[in-house]
Amino acid sequence: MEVTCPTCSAKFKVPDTVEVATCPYCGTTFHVHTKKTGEHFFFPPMKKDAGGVLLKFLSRQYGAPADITGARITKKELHWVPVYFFYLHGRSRRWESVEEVQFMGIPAGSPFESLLQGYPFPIRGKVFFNEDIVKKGHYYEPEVSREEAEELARVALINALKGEGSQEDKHISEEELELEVRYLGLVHYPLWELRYEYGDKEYWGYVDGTDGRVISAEYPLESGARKKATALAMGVVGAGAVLGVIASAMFGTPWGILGGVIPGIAGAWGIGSKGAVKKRIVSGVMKGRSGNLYFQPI
Amino acid sequence: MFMEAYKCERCGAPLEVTPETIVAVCPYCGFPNHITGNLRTEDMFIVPSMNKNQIAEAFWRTVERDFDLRRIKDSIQIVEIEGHYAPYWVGDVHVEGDVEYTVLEEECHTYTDSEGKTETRCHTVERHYHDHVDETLHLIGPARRQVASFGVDDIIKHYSKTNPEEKRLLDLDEGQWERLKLEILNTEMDEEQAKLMMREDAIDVIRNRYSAKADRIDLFDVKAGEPNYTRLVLLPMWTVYYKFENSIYHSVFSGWDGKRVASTEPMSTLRRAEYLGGVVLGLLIGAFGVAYGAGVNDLGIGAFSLGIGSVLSGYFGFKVLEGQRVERGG
Repeated sequence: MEVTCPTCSAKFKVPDTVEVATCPYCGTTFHVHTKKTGEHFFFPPMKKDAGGVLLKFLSRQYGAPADITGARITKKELHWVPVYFFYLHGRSRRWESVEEVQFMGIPAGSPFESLLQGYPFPIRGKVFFNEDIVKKGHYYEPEVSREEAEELARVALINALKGEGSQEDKHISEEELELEVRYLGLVHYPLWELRYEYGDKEYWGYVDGTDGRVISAEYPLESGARKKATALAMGVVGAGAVLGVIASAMFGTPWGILGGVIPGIAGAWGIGSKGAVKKRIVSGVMKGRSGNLYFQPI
Repeated sequence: MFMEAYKCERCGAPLEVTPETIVAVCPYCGFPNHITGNLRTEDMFIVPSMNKNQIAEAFWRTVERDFDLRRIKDSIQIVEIEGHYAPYWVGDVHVEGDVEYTVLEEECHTYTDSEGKTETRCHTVERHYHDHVDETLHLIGPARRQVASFGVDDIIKHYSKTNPEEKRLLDLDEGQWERLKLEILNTEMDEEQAKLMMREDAIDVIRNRYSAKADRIDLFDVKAGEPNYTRLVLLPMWTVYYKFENSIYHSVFSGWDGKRVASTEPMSTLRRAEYLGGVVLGLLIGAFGVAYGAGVNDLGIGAFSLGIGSVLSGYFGFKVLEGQRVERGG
């Protein structure tokens, strides 16, 4: 059937079975029959088990114990984090070369705001908000207003443009900028908070609820490696002491011992800083690409 | 719900889409179903991938050829092999314009005075350059925000180096699709958005080039034309997870030619021994230097040896247990 977009009046075809469509011209998502657009969305959560996904990811990290997949998940909670989505397009009216296009998600509350700062949220895949999801997890109301978020997005865009300008040794004034901050809606984004127990200790992890990407997680280092490191570190201190005694005997002064032991401790510290740590934090997410480039030359 | 409403136009299989999905490639027959947004399915291409077994063979061949891995070959075990096609927008952007910039250079002259003495004087001079930019940039960028954290840039580099054969997705029949099918990651950016970003990034590429070599840019008047030959290319990327002595490492392979493009590897015993040798050297310098210094009553020698010894020992100690190293480009 043919539908008309309520925002830009464009006509386009969608399958008859469809109830919700997104306009190919202006990006508005609306109900085909009621023409309701709405500005509140959520991302449908994945079907995979977040605990399994996390442990599998961790088992592939360097130094993680092989049996970590058997760890016991002690906490698994789904959080619905409010995020404002924006499409940003800015350019200088004076200098044609200064232009920037970005998609941006601004977390608007919940204890996970800093965890998700700068997170590359997917651009597409959101659907109309549905009250049922509130029951399935911990739901957070936005603490930041849409206007405040819009201001943050605007400032980020202005800074990006000014950055480009300063690279060209041009001063960019805000008056000359043409800014488009298009609000794409409030999205409740699924985030899994997990705790797991391994060897009597508890560790945490956060998993993206849409596709199972591990945002951040800690894992214990395999104890065998740690024991080896401790033994090696002690060996180095010992070797330092032995060499010190030999040197002292040769030159007839006790100071050689100190000369051996101090570098020994330094070496042991080096070894220990790598090998004796008990846990490590990893992330499976690449935050923002280098510089302002999205496309690169080939 | 919303997931059930769409069916593949060619084979009728149900498609997992949301109203915002741009294109859904049917997992059964490989037909690209255009859902929304700006995209022409005739401009969708795929670089056919090898299958899992071929990637496993490629992995073992790489191990055979690798100086460090060859020695531990018998203790290496493949844990898992995963692959997918990820979408990339590719296009040409023509950039043209003028750049004037200044580079500060140190210039030295040697003078000889009447008494025959020579003297060298240096001063900074400004050199001005004017370049006319007129070139076509071939650009590539992921068509989605979420990309793998390891190997994507290496795959892109390898793609531009090898220029593999691409097949139009629409031309593939079910039988051909069956042989090269693999999970396809969602395309999140449509052609219009990609073109806008390409144009803007083309200028950024030129600007970065000049900003790296110039001390000051006096004029930057470069314009980018509309992107040409834009197409969506699905590139296959495989990750082989392998185990060695209780720890897991991974190698990323390009799916079209089975070339390893990036890898993490265990540190070899030889390298570890070298680092440990560095630690011992630090100990020797410390012990004998301090003892000698004390013996001849020279505080300077003692302190100096102690410092050098500690730094050496600490630095190499830090390296000894470095568990893995990253290798790029195969």
